[in-house]
Amino acid sequence: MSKIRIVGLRKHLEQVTALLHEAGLVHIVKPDSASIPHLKQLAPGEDLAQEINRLEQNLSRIRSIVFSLSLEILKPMENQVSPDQVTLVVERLVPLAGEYLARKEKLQQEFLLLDKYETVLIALAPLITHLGESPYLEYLGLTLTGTKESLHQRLDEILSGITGGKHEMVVRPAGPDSFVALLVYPKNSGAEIRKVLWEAGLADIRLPAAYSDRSFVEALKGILERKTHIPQEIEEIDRQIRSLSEKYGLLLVTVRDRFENRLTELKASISFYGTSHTFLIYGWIPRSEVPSIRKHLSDLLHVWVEELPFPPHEWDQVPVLLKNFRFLKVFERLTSLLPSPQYGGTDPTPWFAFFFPIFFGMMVGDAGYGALFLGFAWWIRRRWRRRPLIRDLSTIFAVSSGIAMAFGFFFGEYFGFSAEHLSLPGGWIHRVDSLIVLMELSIGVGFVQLALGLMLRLFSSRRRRERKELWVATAKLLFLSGSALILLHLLDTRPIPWAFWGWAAISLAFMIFVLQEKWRAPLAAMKMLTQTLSYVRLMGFGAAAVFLAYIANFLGREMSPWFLGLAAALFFHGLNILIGLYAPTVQALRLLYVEFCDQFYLSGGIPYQPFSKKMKEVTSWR
Amino acid sequence: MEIGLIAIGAGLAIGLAALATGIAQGKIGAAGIGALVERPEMIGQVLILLVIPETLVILGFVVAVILLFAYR
Repeated sequence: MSKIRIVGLRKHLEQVTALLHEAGLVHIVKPDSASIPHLKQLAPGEDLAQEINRLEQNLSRIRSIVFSLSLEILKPMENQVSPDQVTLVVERLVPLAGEYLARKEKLQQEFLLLDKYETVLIALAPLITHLGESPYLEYLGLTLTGTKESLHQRLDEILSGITGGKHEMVVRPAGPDSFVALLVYPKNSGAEIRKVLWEAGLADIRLPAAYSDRSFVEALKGILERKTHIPQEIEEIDRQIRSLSEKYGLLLVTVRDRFENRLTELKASISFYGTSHTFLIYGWIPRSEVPSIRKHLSDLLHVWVEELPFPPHEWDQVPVLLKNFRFLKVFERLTSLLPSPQYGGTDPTPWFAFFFPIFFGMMVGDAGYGALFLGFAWWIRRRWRRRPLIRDLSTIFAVSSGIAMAFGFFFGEYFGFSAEHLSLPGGWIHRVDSLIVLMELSIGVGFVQLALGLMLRLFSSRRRRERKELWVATAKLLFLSGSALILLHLLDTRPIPWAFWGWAAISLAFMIFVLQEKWRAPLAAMKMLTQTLSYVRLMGFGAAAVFLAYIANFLGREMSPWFLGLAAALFFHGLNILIGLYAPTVQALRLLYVEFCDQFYLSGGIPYQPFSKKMKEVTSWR
Repeated sequence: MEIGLIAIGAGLAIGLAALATGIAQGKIGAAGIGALVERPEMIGQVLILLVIPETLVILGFVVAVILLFAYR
């Protein structure tokens, strides 16, 4: 990165801002005002704040409408937008679209509410269409559980006692063990009947508030009618929304784009300083792009781009940009889950690209499953190729599945069957029979990766001139190497003095730990050991997958009848595949993020966010 | 008798470790969900924190395997 200062005449500020915005290369920062006491902030405070506030409010409303109308995949227009068009969008289209959407939501909620009366309507609809209002009669609906005969008898007893037999009732089924009853009785008995029914624990049907002023039958008729009309109204609103989207969708997206660019410009102007005749803009830019920014501003007279030095103690202010080859760029998705790295540290992306597929492959370790995963990854990539996030993740998945197939050949496993069994190639190490060997291999991989991490830390500490970290990393590397030598001595029968050199390295490491970490020295040593042992999960999850596949095949062979065995085999293989999709991914990431990155990764950096316009092609993940 | 005791030892090694892991991950998961509701961008860190206690069950598995294979 290079720290730059752009200096020019005040009259060129607007042009320079537009050119910088177009170039999209400079990460603008506010200068330390103590170092430039004779300069003042150029943008007037209160007016700017008000304009930013107003823009943000309008932008928020437009974004909400664009999202609701699913217009995000539209590409904004490149030509200028007139003030009339902006006014049309802000004052007419956005409120209109908002109104349509609010009405649609209200209708949908009303429909959901009325839907609750579905069972009542189904049970009583044939009746209520023939019923009419009467000044002497009252209707009441009840929902009941029990048998039809017992309910009929119970209601008859209650009503007869009050009306003297002057009542009618219909009981209709509304579901398993539930019924709807419609009661008709003289109006003057209404209050007493309601009271008795309530005391008997029989609940009457509560109608929506909008129908509370109507009689029960009229309310049900109203609900039935409304339920048939609401879908038509919703369809009409959808048609209006579609028409709005087709006619003005592009304009909405373009105005949103312009507002976002204007907002970015206003926010950037907070960092512009100067005098009455000059302006100064401070920022960061990738070193390779300095000639490019000079070229962008070359047409303007009296504008200079200066490169400024920055000592190591300012490195925590330097924004960080990850630059990787095209193939490795997809693995930046894994790095993006970590906090931004510090300037002068190490980009873990290439190492993630190397180790993640290997760890995934070791844990899956089956050529059959690997082939399935590869096919699945290919299908996902084809299906969602317009979505960058899914496309990148499917690429990572495809690479990892290929490595899983390679390990499957190496272990000689094809859907849990051995290579010899199927007369297929491969099978140099059998996971079932060689668990201890696999454990040693896993720990060996752990030693290698941790040592690599520590060496990366050594290089970055040297670059950043951090003496203490340099010593601690050296001590950890010595401790790790010493432990590896002692382990080799225990495993190897040859009379090579591994142990002596191992203990020597560990002793030296411990002395450095004590000097640098003081009372934390034993903890530092223990942490190295546990982190190394953590890699045994490569063997552990691999073994679990093998045994589950073995059980699936065993059941498939031994169970009778044959179709039950097949079902059991398919079930356990399916379970293994599901676990194989999730567990190796999470465990591989854990080893990378925790054990590996703990050795060298310096977080807390500032991501590089240049002052730029929105991407021309707008794609988003929802 | 010996085989039985070794098998029990192996089972206890992995079973108790898995129990401890489950308890730890249950608490971490619950806290993680609470954090994610407010800050969904923390999903990466939450996933990592969630799997950290699995070292316990892995070490238990290692002990179980060593017991079984050492006897073999």
